[in-house]
Amino acid sequence: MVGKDCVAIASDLRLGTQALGISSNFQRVPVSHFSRVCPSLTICQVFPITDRLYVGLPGLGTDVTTLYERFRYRVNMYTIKEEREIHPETFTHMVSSTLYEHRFGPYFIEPVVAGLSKLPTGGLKPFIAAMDLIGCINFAKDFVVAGTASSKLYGVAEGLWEPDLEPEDLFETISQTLLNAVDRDAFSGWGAVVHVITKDRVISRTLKARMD
Amino acid sequence: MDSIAHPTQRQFSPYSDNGGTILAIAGADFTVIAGDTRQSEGYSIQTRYAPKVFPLTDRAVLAVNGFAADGNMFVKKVKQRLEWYRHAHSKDMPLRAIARLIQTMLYARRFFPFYVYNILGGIEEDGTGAVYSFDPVGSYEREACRAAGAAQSLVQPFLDNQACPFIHTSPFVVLTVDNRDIADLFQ
Repeated sequence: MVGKDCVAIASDLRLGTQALGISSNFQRVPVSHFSRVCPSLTICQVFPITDRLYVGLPGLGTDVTTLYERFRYRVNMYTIKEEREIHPETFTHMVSSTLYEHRFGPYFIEPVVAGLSKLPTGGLKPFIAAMDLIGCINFAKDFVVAGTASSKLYGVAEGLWEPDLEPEDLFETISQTLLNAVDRDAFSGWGAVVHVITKDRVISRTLKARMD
Repeated sequence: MDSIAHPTQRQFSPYSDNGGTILAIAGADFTVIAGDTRQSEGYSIQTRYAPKVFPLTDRAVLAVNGFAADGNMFVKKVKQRLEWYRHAHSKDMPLRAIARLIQTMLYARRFFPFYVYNILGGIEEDGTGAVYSFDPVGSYEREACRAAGAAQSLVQPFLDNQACPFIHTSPFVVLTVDNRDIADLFQ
């Protein structure tokens, strides 16, 4: 979800095969290492992390791991070659083309990207995007959803979201949207995480959710 | 030349889905019940005004969604039973009795069901607002709020959030929402 100079990305924690729940601590939105990777580790530690970028990967569990590792590799290569951080837009196209490479035998993942992109003026602009499993990109201005509860998420988000929410209000909106949607979805739930990305920090919270 | 009898297949499909969405919310001493009026089949719109919310008595309203032909016939039959009840008892049937009547009427067709999702809204004998929702074969429940139809998956979690915030703690309403709050919700 997009807010005023901030974005939020959230996910549930359930891993399961159809009705069978396997794990209630499955991080579908891994903290991106992207903005921290640079040619020299020592430079990294003093680098102010201005560019924030998160990716959510709902779908087949094995593909979550495979794709995450692939993206990490490709982003590291990009960072080394270009000697700069990747932009959310660039990263989104990278994800998209990775998925389209497997057009006729796809990874079963519908990625969601959220970050703050740098403007030529030096300012930051909220950026979100979602893709289908073959990489068709949806650059939305308000919110994107993906996964088994997507139709429910659409319903609640359409009702709750409004433009220019401040970080704390955006946190409340995305949390209420996610919790109420997954509580009506048999294949989602079992805990949730929310990340709100602002200009100078990322607020990450784990939500107390229904466990039934 | 064509002396061999070829097998032929015939089929009759008695149901169709006419789309649309209905919903109801119970308050402390009132109920709101609503439905869209579009009737469609596949991607084509048959009409933009075919109501599927029907007043039954002064204190009961029935919304029907699913197969429109079955829905209309079902409402007609319920109304007929309610009229017979009025003639026999000189009063309107109470809401909870209508709910049970609908269950038996639906289950009577267990093996050739009315392809209809019913939501019954109204005022109980004790004055409380109530919503009853049914599946096509008569399984029913009294609830705080319910959506059914094409947009059920979009509307229901929103209703849980906005209209029934205590759904997690109580089986059904003890809500005291005033009319203005509900009106705000649908602006």
